[in-house]
Amino acid sequence: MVFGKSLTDLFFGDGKVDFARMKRTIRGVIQAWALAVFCLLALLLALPSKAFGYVDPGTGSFLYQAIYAAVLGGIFYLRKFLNRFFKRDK
Amino acid sequence: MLATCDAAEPGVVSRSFRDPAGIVLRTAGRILRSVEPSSLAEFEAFLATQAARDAIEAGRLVTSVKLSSEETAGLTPGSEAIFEHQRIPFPSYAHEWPPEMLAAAGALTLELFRSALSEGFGLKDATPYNILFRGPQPVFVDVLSFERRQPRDATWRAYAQFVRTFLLPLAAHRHFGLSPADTFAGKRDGLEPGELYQWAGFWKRLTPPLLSLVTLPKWVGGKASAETYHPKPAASPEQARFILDHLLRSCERQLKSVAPRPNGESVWSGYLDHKSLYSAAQLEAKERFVREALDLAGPRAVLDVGANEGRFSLLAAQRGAAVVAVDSDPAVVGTIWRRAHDQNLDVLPLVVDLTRPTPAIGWRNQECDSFLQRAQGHFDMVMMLAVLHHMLVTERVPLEELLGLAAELTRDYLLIEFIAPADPMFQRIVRGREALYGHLTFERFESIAASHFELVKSLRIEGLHRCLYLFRLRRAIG
Repeated sequence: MVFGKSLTDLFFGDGKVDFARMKRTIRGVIQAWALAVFCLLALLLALPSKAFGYVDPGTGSFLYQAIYAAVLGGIFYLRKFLNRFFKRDK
Repeated sequence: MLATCDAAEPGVVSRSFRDPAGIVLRTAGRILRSVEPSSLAEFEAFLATQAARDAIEAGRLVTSVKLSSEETAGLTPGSEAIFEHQRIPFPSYAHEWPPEMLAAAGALTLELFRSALSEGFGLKDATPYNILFRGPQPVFVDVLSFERRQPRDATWRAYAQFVRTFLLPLAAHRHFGLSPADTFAGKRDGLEPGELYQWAGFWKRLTPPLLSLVTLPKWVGGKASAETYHPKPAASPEQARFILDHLLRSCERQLKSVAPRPNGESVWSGYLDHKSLYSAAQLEAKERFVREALDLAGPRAVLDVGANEGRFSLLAAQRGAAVVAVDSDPAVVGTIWRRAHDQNLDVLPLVVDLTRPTPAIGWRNQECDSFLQRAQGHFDMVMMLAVLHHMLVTERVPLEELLGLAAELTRDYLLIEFIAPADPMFQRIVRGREALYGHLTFERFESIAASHFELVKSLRIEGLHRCLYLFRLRRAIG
């Protein structure tokens, strides 16, 4: 799960607003997005691979897949980061 | 891509050449695969995986047995390894499948890709021509399509081919009524997003599933350059796997969204139940005759021509026959497939019009045999029930020709229904051309049939201008 707890539980644990925790969480989300963007850039700047296969890879569908992969690659790190963030917080 | 066609021709015939890793050979009814030395280790490693063994055990992947050097002597000039595949009784192709079968073949492609992925393998191509059907069950036959994947490779290079040959033809059927059989009759590699983009209206372009299958690829397609095809590997194997898992899940969802609905209607659907002339008692008499004829003849391989929704095909399959059921209407052929699949009966339903049978297609017209080439010598019973008048009137094929073809298609029995010109259904399609058919009496039909067949038994349906005949081929008796 990306979010192990609901936002209500996180910020209003004992019936009071936990500003420190809210600040930490918001900072975490910003950091996660920054990391996702960084990973996306890293993905795009990585060394090119050798192309295999004999099937026509298409044009639009191939590019669509590349964009899909880039977005998913970012989500992968965002998920990983958020999981670690919330695990550490417990 | 593979085309395992089979006909009784002497010598070795190569049918597959696009994949440099190997070719398929057909010799004396055997299906052999020659694997290039550079691809042999990978091929054998795949066959040794649990995923491959499970798929073979479940009948989802064709068996492959490596031949010894003595067995392969003289088959190929080089040092390639030769594997023998189990033969599929009656090869069929995407240009003969109803949309239901194309969807089932697509689901098998994704299922096998997913299981191979867990062992580091993937699919290098994704076309319906990798698959044949054993009865209603799809079987993946192009075993050389599996390749070892680089752990950090997050790209499925055959994704676009999967879209072109499965998702877009099914979407074209679902949204524009184009049968996949029609698509593949003219296009080996399916449809391009640009084609569907032209057909789709404003809202269809902007809503799923055409948005991601057609519109976005069409919009970004012009941006492709040489570098596009050398994508960067993922930062880690886990990230690559995460991306591929999501891509596969997305393909599975899209396949479901474009698959045909169970209740597709056509002119011919529900025909025997509420559109034909038969009363319940008359239909019961016809069914009893067919049942008795099947019991008497005990056929092992039956061709049901004009099978409609497969009532009599299923009856033959219930009696142990392997049935190929053909009809020109993809909607009723889809219904047969659903029924045979749900009841686990050995019926292979195909979209084939016997008056215009599937031609041989592909390179040199040799990649896929024609329907008649595949049917030659295959069936020991041909059923032609309530279909002859359509072939006579609508297609204008002479009766002598029709019975001549029936005599070529069966090795033994012909179960046929003759409908006289006085029959209201005959009248409905004659449309003022009665003079052309006045000579077609029961006696005339029997006399033409007698030049090829000997009558075993017949039944005149009471109250209708119809008669059922069970004939036996004279040369089979002789």
